[in-house]
Formats: sequence, structure tokens, C-alpha cells
Amino acid sequence: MIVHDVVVVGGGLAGLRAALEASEKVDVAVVSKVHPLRSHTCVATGALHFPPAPNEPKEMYIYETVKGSDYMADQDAVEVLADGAEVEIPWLESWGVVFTRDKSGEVLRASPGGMTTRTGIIVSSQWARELVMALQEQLWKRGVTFYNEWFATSLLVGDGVCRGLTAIDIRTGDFHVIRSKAVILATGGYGWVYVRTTNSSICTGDGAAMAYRAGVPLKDMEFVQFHPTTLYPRGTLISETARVIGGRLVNSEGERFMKRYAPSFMELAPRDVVSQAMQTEINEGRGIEGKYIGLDLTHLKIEELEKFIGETNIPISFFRRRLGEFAEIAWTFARVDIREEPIPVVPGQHFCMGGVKTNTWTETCIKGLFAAGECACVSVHGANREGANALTECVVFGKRAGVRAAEYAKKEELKPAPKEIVKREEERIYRLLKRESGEVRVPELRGRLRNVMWEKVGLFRSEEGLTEALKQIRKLKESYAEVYVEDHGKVFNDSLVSALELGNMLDVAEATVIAALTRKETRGAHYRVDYPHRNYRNWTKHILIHYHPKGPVVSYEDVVITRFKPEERRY
Amino acid sequence: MARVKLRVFRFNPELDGEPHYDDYDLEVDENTTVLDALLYVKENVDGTLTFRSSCRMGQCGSCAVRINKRAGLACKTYVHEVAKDGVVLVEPLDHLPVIKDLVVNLDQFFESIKAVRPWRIPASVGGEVGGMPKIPADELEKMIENKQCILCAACYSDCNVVDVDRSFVGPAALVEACRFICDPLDSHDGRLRELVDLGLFKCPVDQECEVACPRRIDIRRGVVEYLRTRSVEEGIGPLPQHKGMVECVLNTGGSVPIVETPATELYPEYVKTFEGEPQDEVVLYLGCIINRRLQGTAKAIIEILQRNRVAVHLPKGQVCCGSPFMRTGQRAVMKPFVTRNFNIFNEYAERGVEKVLTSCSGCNSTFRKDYPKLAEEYGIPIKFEIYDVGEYMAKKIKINTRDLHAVNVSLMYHYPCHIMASGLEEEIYLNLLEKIPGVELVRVPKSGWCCGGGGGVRAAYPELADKLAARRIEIAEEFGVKGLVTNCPFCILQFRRVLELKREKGEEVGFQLYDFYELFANSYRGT
Repeated sequence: MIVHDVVVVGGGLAGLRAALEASEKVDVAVVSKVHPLRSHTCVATGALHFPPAPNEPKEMYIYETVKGSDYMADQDAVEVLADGAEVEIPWLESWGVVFTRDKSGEVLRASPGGMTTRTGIIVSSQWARELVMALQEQLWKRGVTFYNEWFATSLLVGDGVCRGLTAIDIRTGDFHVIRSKAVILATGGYGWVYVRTTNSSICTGDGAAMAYRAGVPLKDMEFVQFHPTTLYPRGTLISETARVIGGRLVNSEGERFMKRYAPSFMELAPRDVVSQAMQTEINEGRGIEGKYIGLDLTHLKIEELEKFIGETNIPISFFRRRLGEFAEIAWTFARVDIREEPIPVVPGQHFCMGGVKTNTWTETCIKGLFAAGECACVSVHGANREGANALTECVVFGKRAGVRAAEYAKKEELKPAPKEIVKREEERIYRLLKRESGEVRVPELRGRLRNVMWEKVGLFRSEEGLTEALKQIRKLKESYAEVYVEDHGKVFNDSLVSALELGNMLDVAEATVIAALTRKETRGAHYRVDYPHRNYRNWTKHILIHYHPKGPVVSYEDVVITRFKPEERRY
Repeated sequence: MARVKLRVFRFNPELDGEPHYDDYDLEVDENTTVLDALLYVKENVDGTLTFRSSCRMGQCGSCAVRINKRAGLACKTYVHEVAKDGVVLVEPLDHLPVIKDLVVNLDQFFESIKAVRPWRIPASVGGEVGGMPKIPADELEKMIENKQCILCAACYSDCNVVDVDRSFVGPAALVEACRFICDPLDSHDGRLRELVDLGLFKCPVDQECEVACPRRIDIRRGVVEYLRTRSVEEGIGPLPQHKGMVECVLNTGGSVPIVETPATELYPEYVKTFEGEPQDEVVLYLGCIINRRLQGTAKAIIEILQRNRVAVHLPKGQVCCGSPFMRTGQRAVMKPFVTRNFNIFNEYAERGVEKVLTSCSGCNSTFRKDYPKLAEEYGIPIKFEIYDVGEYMAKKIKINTRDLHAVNVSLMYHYPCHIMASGLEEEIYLNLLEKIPGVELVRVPKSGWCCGGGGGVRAAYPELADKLAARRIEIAEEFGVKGLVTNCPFCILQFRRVLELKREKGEEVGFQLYDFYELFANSYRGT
């Protein structure tokens, strides 16, 4: 019998931050389907926001985040984000993170794409792994319990109260019940449902799906961010920093086409604007070789940079390292020498603004169940997330989850795990291994899902396409009920895990399509070719998707507006 | 498109008593990575094939496996670039228990990391409360380099010391420790001393870890030698045996005492025993070990050069190249020796003899990699060119094969780590060996480059050095190989010692050790 006060599911930045916080007060354990140092956070660029910037009001960061969200962010949450970041960021440096310093030795500040506020900072190694590593190190020092390579399969909820979860120890194949007073979901996004994504194959929306099936609504699911610059054709992320340091986007005519879409911000317009612009160029026949856009760094020769950098506060070593990373990625994954030719890029899925609905204290409608990070939707990002705000969200709301969950666990009694639910869950899982043969296998279903999501629920959506997507996903769900898993073993049965992940993917994908069908306007990252304009008056409200055995149910919730009224965004 | 056979290690603890290998025939093109191939097999051929992967972009470290015996990330390795005779061998990381197929249990690896206390120890009391102080940007560079580690464990898999001694913390742990020691916000208190106890001086600097590292961390010079230098600066290192070695250089000009007449005194300064004009003129730098312990090798090299009509200058004043100082952190006292060598070589270069040949691989890699920076530091120009003798034979002259007699031996070539470090490919020496008639060259898939003779390990941890050398012979014997040839004096002494130890124990030793140059010289002599 495994019992803890608080269990955190997910070992990325939000999860580890929550665990560290809660471990101050109560007994915490982390359950992660991969070793935390393999979490998807580790492959992101380690940029965060640290408001306020000197000589700037904090309000500027708040405004630009809200504007960037196309006025769908809940403004009280953004204020919490800003206040939280101000206080939380310095702690990261006490725990082992070191932020890049500028020429004067102060923490280097810059504006990420889409913003002019200089609240952007970056870890010295430039990889977000540094953040996860620092927290993992502190947790090692504290001796917090980790259940690594344990796959959480369901939440145990009864009478509106969370009592723990069920999980498979992947190494042994054993099924476990973990009882706890509180559960914090920090399982990340679900970008793997798209065939072209910067996400890792582990980003399958497990926490969101579990919460959804347990009765927590999913919020803002239609808002999926497409990052402008993913390497063609592999989908490897080329970080926004490539454009921040001066990279240019060119079409087949050699034109810097962003001047037609965002004349002021150009390549540094928000991601939804740039992605849609690039895809439009390709769709209208101006893609290079008909397929991609060029990200040109050839003019960023180090010798010339010396002159340019002389005028800024950024040390040359920062550029060398950044360019070195891009050079490595472009050469390794596309055999392109960035000094000689532009990098072939296309937009690709990158981040999920939508997720488990929580309040600003990460609480869900189920007592004892909390969610933070990409898997949650507070919402701080609304319809489009600005650069560096994902990690900031993880730090601020990861901490808040740790605080609230610990407070809750201290007050509450441990409740029994509902035996019936446990039994049914065990059957659900092992039924997948009972089939001796079958027509339909996980890779096929998964491939079809990922393709239909990309083709019909991608950058440009329409009633027709979305309806077709929904139809196909429902067919896939029917096939899933009969899916065959070849590996019937217990030890490290990653095929079983993949099968369970696919179930989660299908649920969150379905919710995404329904939300996209429901929102009949274009907003942020959600582009409806049949409703190409913003409709702030009627659609400044969140779409919530509720699980129901007969099919998902839609409801609405107003966006919280405190300071900034919605208005047309210009860049 | 090309056809390739993917040969994959399989082991299912529930079904198999022993591991076995499964072959999969695949069509690949120039964009297919090993991970692509594995995923293809899993999704289309055998769904039970199990391996880890996640980000597919070389950053998470999940997919670290051994490919053709060398550890690396499957997502960054291209099948067509690594296939040998159309086969790519994929195996789980070494030195860690296999859970299933290519999945290993990394607990021990993470324990090795935890052994160096990899968490920030705040530099000042009250430093717990983050102040984000001002730090000069360049003070962070070293730390930043070592923060690039993704803990994929490829280095741990390829580490020769871990191979023979599982208590060694391994390269990644040293990188992590270095990261904190270079972190201006960390107190460093006790870290270096702790690291010396954990085996900082056990590393023979063979650099197999560096070759495996997907983040290209400069483990040898940037971490191991750097930390050793720091430990000497702080009075914690070096180990007493290393002090002795350096004292020998300071007193006698070489890293080992003179016992027999050094080779430099067996010849005049200028050696030309053949008639007619030489085809070339070179300076021969022997290095301490060959000069003072392996005079036979020196004689062999001079003979080879004479047989190829190359006149040889043997500077009497040549002194230690300085490598023992640099590998054990004692850089501060080596300047007089290094500058003496610079001056000798420059003088010859000014007289028109620009080529300096080294017979010792350690000297070669020191001249090539360390000397340019030292020249800059000391303000001395470099007017000479460095070659390894074998490299010179292969690339700068058309070697005289006419006078090579048959030598009927079957052997493998041991590729010395310092030859690799000099940027000289194994093929150079394999091709030379193939020129000797009668030599049967056996290619062993991966024997490892470490004989235990490097990095001061022989002096400070002789048992470990012996184990490292013995392992090379053990692996050779597993492949049915009965002889080994190599072109590094440290390797020769190490292997010689191991074979002697075996004889002392009364073991039957059918294994033969050959010096590369003596083999050639014997072939010329017809002996």
C-alpha cells in the first residue's frame, strides 16, 4: 500500500517546482513516466520572464501578455503570473540555475518575439534543462521519493474528492494504487496528437485526459500554438531566439514577406501571426520548392556581429553559443550549413494553450486535485502564448500548486480508495493485453489520428474540415476499443503504455476538435477560414468541454477582464 | 536508397535465459537515423522491440545506445554513415543492467552523479535567498560548457575505467562536479578534495568518453586536466607519485630516470647511413620513454627512415614534452622544458629542417593540441611542423616496400588513445601494416583505446592500470586473436607488464606483443 500526503504526476518544471514547494511541509512523491531529466521541458529554450524590467512598469509585461493572448487570457491570472514571477525567479538562482549575464554583469534582459517589454531572461546554458536539473538536484538533496517510469493511468475520485491514483510500474509491469490526500497534475501538453510537432513523443496529454475523464472540464482546447520555425521536414524546433538575434524569414522570391503581415514587428510578431503568414505564403505558391520558408542566418557572421553587438549589452559568447546550437541542429537534422544557406522551416505544433481548468491557485472542481503547467489552463495564455511565458507559468503555478496542495493535505484526512473504480481500471488496462490477435494496431491508429489532426485541425480550420476530423476521430475511438497490442509481457511493456497514451490522445484530440468547431471566429492561434475575423463582442468567452459517456458537452465561461479591453491587435 | 541489416540486441527476462540478436533487413536513405530504423521495426515488423526515445532532437538523452560498439544517441546517428559492410549493430549501453532489449537500468549511473553532491551549496550564508548578483559574463563560460551535459550516460558506457572498476564515478560525474566548481555562486567547499578521493586522478585521459559525448563536452582538457590543475593550485593535488614523476623531469630532463644509455647518445646528431642524396631530412623527437626505456624502438625507427633515404637529426638537448605535467595538473613548472623544445625545433626549422617527427603518441598529441596555445601564452612562434613517424611514413613519403621481407604473424592493431587524440585515423596504421607481406591483420570490432598508461594512472593507481591493459588483451583473446601490435611506448610497456604478470602467476601466455616500428624494421632486416 503506497501512501503519500501529496503526489505530483509529471517531472518537468511545473511538477518539480510543485514537489519542492510541497516537500517543505508534507510528504511528497513524484510519479513520472520518464526520468524527470528526460522530461519535455529539458528540450525547450530556457527563457523566462522576470518582471518588471528596469524603467518599465510591471503593467507593460501584463499588457503585452494579454494583448498577445488576443484578449482571451484571464487578466487576474496574468496579474498573478506577473507578481509571482517577480518573486519566484530569484529563487531559481539560489537552487543552481545561473541566468545569462550581459556585458555589465547584470542579468541579461531582452524582448522575446511579440513583445517589447524587456522582461525576458535566459538561463546561461540556454536550455531549460538547467531549470529542471536545479530542481531535481534540490529534490535529491532533500531525499524526496520518486516513482520514475511509473505511468499514471487514472485518478481515484469519489464524492467529488480525489483520493489518489492508479499507476503501472513500467519496469516490472505491476499495477499499483497510490493513495494520497492531494494530487497535482503536471503532465505537460498533448502536441503529439499532431504529426508535425516540436513536442516529444511523451507529450500525449495523459494528465488532461485523466482529469477530463474524472469530471474536470477542459478549457480553451481550440487554442493550439503553431511555432513558426520548425525544421523541415523533421519538425525539430528552431528556437525563436534565431529571429531575436536577427534571423530573417524569406519566401521563394527572396522576399522578407513579414512586412506585409506585421510591418512593425516583422519576424518578431507573435507566433500566431508569423505562423499564419508563413503558411499563407506556402499555400499561395511562394514556398521554397513549394514546401517551406527560409530562415536566413547567413548574414549573422560572427565578425559582423562584433560590430552589431558593440552597440548592445549582449556578450559575444551568447551569440557564439546560440549560433553554434542552431548550426548543430541545422547540420545534424537537415544537413544545412547556416553560414551558406537559409534553414528550411515550416510552422509546426508547439504548445497547448488549453488544458485542465483551474483557478489561479491551481485548484480544479475536484477537491484535492490540482493542475499546473502546460496541462493546466488558468488561463494565462489565452488564444496565443508569448515566448518565455510557458516556463514562467510552470515556475509560478507549480509553486502555487505545491503551496495549496500542502495546505490542503495538512487539513484533510486520507480517504479510502474506491475499490470498484480500482478494479474497473485494472480491467480496462489489462483488457488491452487479452486480445490474442487483431486487425488494428496502435501505430496505425496513432498515425491516422496525427495526420487528420494536422490536416484538418491545424493552422487553418473550416467547418467542413473540422466536421470531417471529428467523424474520423470517432471512428478511431471505435477502432481503439478493439486495438491489438503485440507485446503481452509485463516487464517494460512500452507497447501497453503507448496503447494507454493513445486513449488519452484520442480524448484530448476530440475535445480540441469540438472546441474548434464551436468557436466561430478567428482568434489568436485558432484560424477559421470560414470566420476569418475576430468577434470580440460575442466570443470573448472560454469554451469548456465536459466529459460525458454519451459524448462531450460544451459550456462557456466569461474571460476575466480587469484592465485591458479587447481591441484589434496590430504588430 | 540502400539495403541495410539492423542487428539488434534482444533480451526479454520473462522469456529468454540469454540475450540474442535479431536481424532486420531495411531500406534506408541518407536521412534515416538509427532511431528512425528502430521505430520502423517496432511499428511494422516487431512490436515487442523495446527502447527509449522521446524528443528525437538530441536533447533529452533517452535514446542513448551502443551503435557498432560505440555509445551515442540513436536520433542523431545516420544509418548510412555508420553501417559497416551493410550492418548496423545496436546494443544497450554498457556497464548497466539490461531491463529489456535496449533499455538499461540507469539507477547506478544516477547514483554516480549523486556521489559528487550535485546540488548548489550557496557561497555565502544568506546566499540561500536569491539576490541575482552581478557576475562578469566571461566568468561563466567554463560553467556553461559543463552545464551542457544531458546525462545520457553514453560516456559512462564507453568509459574504460568504469569497464574494469564499477566504483569509479565516471566522466559525467566529473563534468557535473566541474560545473559546480566553476559556478561562482557555489561555495566549492571540499568539492575538489572529495573529487580527488572519488577518483579524479584515476582517469587515463583516453578520451573515449569525449568521442561518445553528443554534447561535445571537452572532458579531457576542459574537465579532468582542468580540475587536476585546480587541485594542484589549491594544494590538494597532485598525488605523491605524480610529484615524483615531475621531480624526475626537473632533475633529469625526462619523466623516467636514466638506467641504460639513452637512444640519443647511441647516435651522432646527424644520422645518414645510406649513399646519395636523402629524399628528405627530419628532426626526430623520441620522447622520454622511447629514449630511456625502449631504445629498440628508437633504433627501429632510425633504421626505417634510413631504409627510406630520410636523413635524421637527433637533437641531444631534447627534453620532456611536458605532457606528464599537463595531465596531472602541474602546469606551473613546465615552462623551461617546453620552451627548450620550442627553441630546438625552431632552430632546425630556420636551418631548413622544418619537419619534427615524434615517435611517442603522447608527445604527438601534446605538440599538436597543447603546444599551439602554449606558444601563444609564452610568446614564441611555431616555425616547425609536427608528424607522427607512422603518419610521415604513410603521407609524406612513398614508403620503400620493395625491401620488406615476409613476417608471418597474425595480430590485431591496438589504436593508442593519443594517436586518436592527435587526429590521426586508425586507417593510416592499418594500411601501413598491410604493406608488410605475411602479416594477417585481424580487425576486432571495438577493443577500446586505453592501455592504462595515460593520465598518470600507472604511477598512482598501478592495479587499475594493470586491469585496463589486461582488459584489452582479454577482449583480443575473446576474438581468437593471438597477437597485438601498437605504436605507443606507454601501450607497449603496459601490455608487456601484463603479459609478465601472467607469466609470474604461472599462466600460459600464447599472446605476442609487437612494437609497430620493430615489426617494420624486422621486416626490412629480414629477421
